[in-house]
Amino acid sequence: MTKPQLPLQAPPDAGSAAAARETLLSRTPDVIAPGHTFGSVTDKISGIVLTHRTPIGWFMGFAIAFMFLMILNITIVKLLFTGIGIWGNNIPVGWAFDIINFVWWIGIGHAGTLISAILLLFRQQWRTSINRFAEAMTLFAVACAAMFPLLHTGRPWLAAYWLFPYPNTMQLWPQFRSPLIWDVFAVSTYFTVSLLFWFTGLIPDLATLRDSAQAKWAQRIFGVLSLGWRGSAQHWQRYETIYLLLAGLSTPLVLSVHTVVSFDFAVSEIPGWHATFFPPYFVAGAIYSGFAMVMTLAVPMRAAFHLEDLITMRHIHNMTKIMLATGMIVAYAYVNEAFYAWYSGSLYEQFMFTNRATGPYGPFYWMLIAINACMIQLFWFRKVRDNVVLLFILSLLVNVGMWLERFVIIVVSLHRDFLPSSWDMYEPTVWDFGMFTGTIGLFLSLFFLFVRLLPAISIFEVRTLVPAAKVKTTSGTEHLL
Amino acid sequence: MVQHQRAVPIHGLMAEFDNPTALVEAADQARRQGYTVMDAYSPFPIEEVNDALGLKPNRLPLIVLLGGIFGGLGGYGLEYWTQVIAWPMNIGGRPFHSWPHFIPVTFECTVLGASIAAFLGMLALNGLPQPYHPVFNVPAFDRASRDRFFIGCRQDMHDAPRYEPLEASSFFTDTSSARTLVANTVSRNPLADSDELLYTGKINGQLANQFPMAVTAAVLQRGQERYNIFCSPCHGRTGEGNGIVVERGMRKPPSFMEDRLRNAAAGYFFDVMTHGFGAMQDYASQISVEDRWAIVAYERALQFSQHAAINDVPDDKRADLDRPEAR
Repeated sequence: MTKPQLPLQAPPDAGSAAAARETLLSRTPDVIAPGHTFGSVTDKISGIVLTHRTPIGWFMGFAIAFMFLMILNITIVKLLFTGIGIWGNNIPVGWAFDIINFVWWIGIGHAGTLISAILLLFRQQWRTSINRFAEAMTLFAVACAAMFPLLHTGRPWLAAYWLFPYPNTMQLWPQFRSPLIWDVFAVSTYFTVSLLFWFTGLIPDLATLRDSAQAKWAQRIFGVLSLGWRGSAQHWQRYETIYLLLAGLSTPLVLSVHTVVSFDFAVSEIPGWHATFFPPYFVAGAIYSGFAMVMTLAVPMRAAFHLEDLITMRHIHNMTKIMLATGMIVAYAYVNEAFYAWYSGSLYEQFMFTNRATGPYGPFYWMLIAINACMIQLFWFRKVRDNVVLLFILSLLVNVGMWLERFVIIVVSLHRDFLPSSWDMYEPTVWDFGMFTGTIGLFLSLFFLFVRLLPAISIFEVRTLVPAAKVKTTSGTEHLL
Repeated sequence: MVQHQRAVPIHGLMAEFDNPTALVEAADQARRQGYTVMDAYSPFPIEEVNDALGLKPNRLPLIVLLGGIFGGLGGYGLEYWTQVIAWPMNIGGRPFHSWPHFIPVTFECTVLGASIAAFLGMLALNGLPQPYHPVFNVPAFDRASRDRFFIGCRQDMHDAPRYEPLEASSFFTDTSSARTLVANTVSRNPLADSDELLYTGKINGQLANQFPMAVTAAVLQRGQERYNIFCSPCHGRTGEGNGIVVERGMRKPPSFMEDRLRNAAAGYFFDVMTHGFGAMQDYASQISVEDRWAIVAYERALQFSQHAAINDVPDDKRADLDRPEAR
């Protein structure tokens, strides 16, 4: 028997396959535009903070955001003087805008931690130029979110004893079997750890600002905040260790936070809430809406401060792809909800679903399906991913869709429960919208201040993307160890 | 008389580079030459520098682990104590110690404890916040947070490579392993051969009972000042050997008033100060030659003062004997 001849040559189409791969790679934009040096990226990013000229657009944007912040102030004052009766929620819809907005904001926050922690662990270089402002976005979003449950207590200063375990005069302690107290711990831990992570990342950049600021007072402030950072190799080594450790700690944390948020619903027995797939469903939805918000912020910021060199099309593409992937998980969860309702054989579960689709709030359900299941299919197309203006609009719509999702889960499940005699409709009042738009104002105000006062892009990490940052040991010396 | 100037001491030496590769190579070379106490400064972390400097792995993972354990035990302990001991409540017929409900908060407290330990541990091990550090005195160091790379070593002699005398160096640009002296270095007896009396207190090998310089009031005053600084802790201000160190229980030196010492040559005292005697170490590195002679002159004055009559004091100075510092 003759052995089959092994082909000694590569198949004739191998060359063209390699070429195809080359062209595919060349179509992938870089994470940083060519031609940048350590100095130029430093000047580019720190210039936004250190310039004496504040762009007129910044003032206009901040003024609008500040106006909405004032609406928040008025709403809170009214709420504290009158009580939470000014809101539209009442039995049977005991939770409405307050929890919808809480979950919406918390979810938005998740993208920041995902970018800064999970993508760091996966060594995704493209995270470097978007992680700083995404982390800031997380902090501001969590601050907005925390406001809703606190104010829902009506008198937060009196409610503190069942929120936080402190020795009070009544000798009462929080009830640790409730998902609501888990929420308090999850959200406050999330905020604290995000703040530590964010500030740790800022320290070397604050040192950069300290060294390049011209004004005495600016040098002083940045000097104090940078804690005397001097870029010593010994310090960097420890810094890198804890940066990685914090990323490793934040990764399960961020997954736990929205899991705990989903427990608020899943642990109860309301049809439409009582579902075991809620944790992964909520986490995917959180990352999906969070990336939409990062896109919403990145597109105008990139244009206003001419950061196209640093936030390249590569970033825009990747963010869109993550939105597509997580959006598909969310759409899959919608299918699951329908399946479980049918498969459960339970009258109440099945009614919950028909009521969702065909009840009085039916249009909201179909809007969310239209956005979160159908519209995101546009992200498959490269032409769409290349069009930043379109992406900006679509990302806004994604956030609308995710808000509607929470509305459908919370309000629609509650308004028609087991007992038809207690069915009722829910209508938000002007104060509900005041709180909601007010927190958007707070979020944007904080973001405008952040962009102007602190480096919105991590300078030291972007330096590592500059080609010259790669150490080339030409002499081939093996290091002493 | 030796000039006593105070210059700002130099903290260390620094070299500046404009790219990380040069920094790594410089660190590697310096370490091969034998410098071990070095630090590099860069505007972003460079993994290769850690190896080149020979940095050891740090203890932060352990600190973070301990913080996490502390946080987790604290969280669970809080739940157990409040729900089982302090305020047990029947919630839906569950046992008081319904541990699955305690997991979420325990988890969050673990992460919180570990994260805070990571942040504070990093600051503590790095010695931050530290607003001032000598490296900030280098004018060009502003750019260490921008686009320049520095490597620095301490100017101390405790960390330097070993060289044979007159060996060539491949490390320094002047190829000389012998470095120039640090400013204010005190020379130890460079001219001992040129003036035997001044530098050894001897003439033809025999202790001499004379001074190499004229003993003036200024010399005596200088001698008194140096004596009170260097000698009086043991010998006492009057030279009787009852200084504060002796009073605390250390060995008592002989009194200068003993006949043996009153009759000893002036060169003997100089010799003892230069080479030490018995329990006394030598002071050659701390007191200059001229000052040692000034102290000998003052000691002679102390010896004389204990055996002087009033007639030995000039008429116009006798009133000074009543001044407080003369007592």
